[in-house]
Amino acid sequence: MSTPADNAAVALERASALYELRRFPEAAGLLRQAIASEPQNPAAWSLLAAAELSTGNHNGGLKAAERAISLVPDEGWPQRLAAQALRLLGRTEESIRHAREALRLDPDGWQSHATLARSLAMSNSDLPEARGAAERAIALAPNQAEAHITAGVVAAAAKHRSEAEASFRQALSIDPQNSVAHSELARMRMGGRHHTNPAGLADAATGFATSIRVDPRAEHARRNLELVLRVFLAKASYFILIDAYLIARIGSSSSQPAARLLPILLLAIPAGYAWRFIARLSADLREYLLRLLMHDRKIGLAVSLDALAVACLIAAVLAPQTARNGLAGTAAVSALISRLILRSQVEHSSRAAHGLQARPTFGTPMMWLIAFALILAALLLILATATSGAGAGGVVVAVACIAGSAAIFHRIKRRGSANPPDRPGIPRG
Amino acid sequence: MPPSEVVADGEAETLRRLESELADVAPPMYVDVEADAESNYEIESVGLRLADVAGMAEVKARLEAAVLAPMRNPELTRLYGRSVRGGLLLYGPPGCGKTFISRALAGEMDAQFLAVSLADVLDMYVGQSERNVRGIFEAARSRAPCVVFLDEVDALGQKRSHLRNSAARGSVNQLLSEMDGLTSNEGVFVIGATNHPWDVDVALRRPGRFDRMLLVLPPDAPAREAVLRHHLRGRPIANVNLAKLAKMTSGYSGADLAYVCEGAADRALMDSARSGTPRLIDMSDLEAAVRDVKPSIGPWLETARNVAEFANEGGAYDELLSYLRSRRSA
Repeated sequence: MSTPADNAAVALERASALYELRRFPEAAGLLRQAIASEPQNPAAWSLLAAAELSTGNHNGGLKAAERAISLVPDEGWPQRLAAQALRLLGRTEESIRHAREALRLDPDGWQSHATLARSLAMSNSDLPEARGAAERAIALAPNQAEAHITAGVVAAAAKHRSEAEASFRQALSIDPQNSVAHSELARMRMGGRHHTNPAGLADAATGFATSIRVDPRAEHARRNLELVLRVFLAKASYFILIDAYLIARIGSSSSQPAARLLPILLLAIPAGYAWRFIARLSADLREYLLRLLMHDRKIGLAVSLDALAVACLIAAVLAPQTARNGLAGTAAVSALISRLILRSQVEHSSRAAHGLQARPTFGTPMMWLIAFALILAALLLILATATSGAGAGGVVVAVACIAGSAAIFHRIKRRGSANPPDRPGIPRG
Repeated sequence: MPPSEVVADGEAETLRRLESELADVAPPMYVDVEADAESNYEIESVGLRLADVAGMAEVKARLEAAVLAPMRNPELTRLYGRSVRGGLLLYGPPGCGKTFISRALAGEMDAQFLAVSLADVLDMYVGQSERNVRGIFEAARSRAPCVVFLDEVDALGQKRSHLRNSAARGSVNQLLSEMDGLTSNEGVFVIGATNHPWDVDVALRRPGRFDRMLLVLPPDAPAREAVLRHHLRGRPIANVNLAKLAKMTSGYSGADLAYVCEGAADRALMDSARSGTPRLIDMSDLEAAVRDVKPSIGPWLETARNVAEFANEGGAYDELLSYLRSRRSA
């Protein structure tokens, strides 16, 4: 007759197999059963912590790791798991404390050094020590891709870009199917904050796509890819806006032939930027970008406005002097609206890539303000039209303003109504 | 050391006789080591037919073209340069009837059905994986014609690059060897089912192994109606419009539909308990349950989208890609 300990041992072995098969929720379920029959089993608690961390349940992972520590305070693995959970929860000081304890208990384990390096890199407190720990991890396990990735993360935190890239490349030479290394390398290729290098952006997009290819569950890579594509569109739109502004200020007031060709010459900047980006993309990424333009309404609107701006700038070359100001102005306004939309899209995408909830483009107070401003503008227009006896144009614009304010009020009302909570379906059949 | 090696030749016959006398009491233990493989797996005769699968006309047509027609006309199949060997990999979101379809396919072939579940696979990882995989195929060959159904085949045939456990690697290698039919696989047809075909070792998808892939999507309207009817059978219901419910539950898996019926029954039960008067499950209960239960295939679709858009090598997932596009444009 089997004892609870025997049952727990079998469940633990099965859970280990499930964990290796990356079926983390099922492994966690089985481990909970094992723990129910043998609550003092430290290996079960430790594996449960690892499974919970792999499913993104950082708090659950921490609790399980703490329970394992209470059962076996002299083992390194539970300490490392606690350090990892605390790092993911942003509690860096506590994470460092557990990582140091793990290292004290297991000084020859490369994972202990790597854990400490990660925790220190996240806190940004002692990067030279983090670097030393990462180097020791590599010295102990030169064929472990994870050790090189840790070194890359530490170098990236210290802003040693080329060193970080070299580490991620080294990890990929050991394990070409390592999704994290592909993703981190792509992140490096995105370059600085200004994203003026379209080739770097295209390489980043390719890297994130590769990361998705080798691990289709890598949702962070998917979100980063979407961010890169939005950054590209926002940057191209920014160049169009600058062109439109310059042409509105300089080109339209001059009758010199060279000045009239200025719009065309300046358009070479966004065109060149877009060409360099798109030419480096693979066919599937180009197709993906096209689908993004076609299916995302806001992105589609922004790109249409940019296309309108470009058309107006080209028309300004051919149009007579009198029409040029209007065309340049329309181009500038279109490009400005497009730029605002794309900026908000980049921010949304960036928040999503960091695992944060999307923020609305405008807060509710700002929406009230815009709605009242539109009503005021409509009233003023109607008043001006009535007193001056001008045509119906003013009335049409006023009606448009009122319709716009009504749409905003409707939106505010919808935002106010709370969404009923969903009952989740069955996760797995 | 295997038990047969410790038994002297003269004693073997006596033991074999004793074993046959005790066959109804205990399974063979002493003489024939290989015989116990069969007893570990339940092989059953299936009365189901594809006609018993409601809706899913496209899946049935593809099964007919890819599997049944070549099997019924082997000479014609060879004439056109097609192979009658190889297995079938059914993939799709969880809870959408892959197992049911496999059983119906076995019934259609008039074959026995040997199902290997995830629990069996985990037992292999804990025990002797290679021997157990061999045992499955030996049991199937002994009862040919037989369909071997490997449920959640990604667990048994996981990409070897993901595996560190030697037992798990051994099971993949043994499965490859068995499917190659180093020993004869005449009369044995292998069906794999998985929610994650992208985790299956690519070597398993080569010709002669799982070289035919078939996407099993969430049930269509007629299938949903049949599933709802099945789960409401035996429950007290009144004025239920199944066609309307089927229309409301587009994108729901069979498991989600079962959950809808459970939810509706819970509602009616709670209401009856509150009022003290039993009442029938009506349309309002079912509609409320449909609103509460969201389709569970969302996370699967997210991963599937990543695969179809970025890892569709050789067009393996064209069918999935076209489904995802049709969902987006719908």
